[in-house]
Amino acid sequence: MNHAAQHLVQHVPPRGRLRVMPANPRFIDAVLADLLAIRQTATGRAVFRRLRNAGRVVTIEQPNPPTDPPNAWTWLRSPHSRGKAEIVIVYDPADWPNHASRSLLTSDAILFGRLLDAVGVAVGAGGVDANVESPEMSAYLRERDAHGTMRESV
Amino acid sequence: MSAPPPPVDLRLDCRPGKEGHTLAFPYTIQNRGPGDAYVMDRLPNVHPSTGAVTPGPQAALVVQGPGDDVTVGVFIAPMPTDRRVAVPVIPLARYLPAGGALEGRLEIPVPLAETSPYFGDLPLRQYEMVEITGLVFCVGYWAAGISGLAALPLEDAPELFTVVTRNTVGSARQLAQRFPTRLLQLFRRTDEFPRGISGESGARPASGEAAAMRAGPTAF
Repeated sequence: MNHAAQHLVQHVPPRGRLRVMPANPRFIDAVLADLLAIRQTATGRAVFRRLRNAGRVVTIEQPNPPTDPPNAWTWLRSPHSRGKAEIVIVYDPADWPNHASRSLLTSDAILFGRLLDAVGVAVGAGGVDANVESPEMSAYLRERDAHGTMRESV
Repeated sequence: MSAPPPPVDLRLDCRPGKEGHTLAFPYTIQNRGPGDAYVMDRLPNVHPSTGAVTPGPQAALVVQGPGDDVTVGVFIAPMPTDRRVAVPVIPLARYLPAGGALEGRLEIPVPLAETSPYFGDLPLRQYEMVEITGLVFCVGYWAAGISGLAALPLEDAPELFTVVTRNTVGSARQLAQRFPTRLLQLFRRTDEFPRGISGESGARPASGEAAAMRAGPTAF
């Protein structure tokens, strides 16, 4: 496990769980880099806290099969046995920024938006806005850019 | 208070046919004015390494409905209902001035299978085969005069535009023309595939429908 992964595991929320489905090393490293970029901002840490308080499992997966053009999404996967459905975030950092879309968000911003969606799913409310013009996304982008955490696309 | 945009009056004329293992939809759209329009043409392609946007080879959507018909064409795909998507997929568009006309051609391989830019293809066993009674050929467009519309030409294909409005999905309109069919089947997806082509983006002006009423059975 590399340093980034060790750092992340130290901060895994105790009740909710955030996990990355093993795909390939490049995908996992890129996702962890995005999670760490998000964690460096107060806005990002607040989203992690909200997910932790919701007590839900959030799984991050690579699109399979991929869509054309590339996209990212959040959905609920029903459990095979009784219990809460799992929140699944599907994205590939390598797909972002995506010039076919109207925004040029980098992969960490795409993941931040999906985490906001996951909060919305977890609390059962449609009131969480993950659009690029939403206050939370705007705050994240401002803070990230101010902290100089914007990184090159993967 | 700004004046309302000049109305758009588009007429769709499509003469479909079957060519080998392909359904071909050659079509003409006339703009009888007085307003200009941007007519959806194809989805954008993104180069995997450079990120450059180029026109995709084809933007045909295939969606079951209404009823036992199948809607095919170039329009804004219904948004998924089982997931929250990061980026809405909007087709590139061609400019159609008042009094002008444009031609296009869409080819769709048979057997028909439901497709959407929001869903990857499924394994074969996750489709079910259903008989269909008609094909609705559908082309989306925006009235150029609507408030807040911006159209940005592609660098390498200046005849195609990325269109943005204050409500890009909701401000889109559709032309449609229906063709009764015989002996045509659809591979229908069995997942949570969205099929609701309705609401504002599903508005279908009457000019295409009138032509559809005149169209006889089509031997696909």
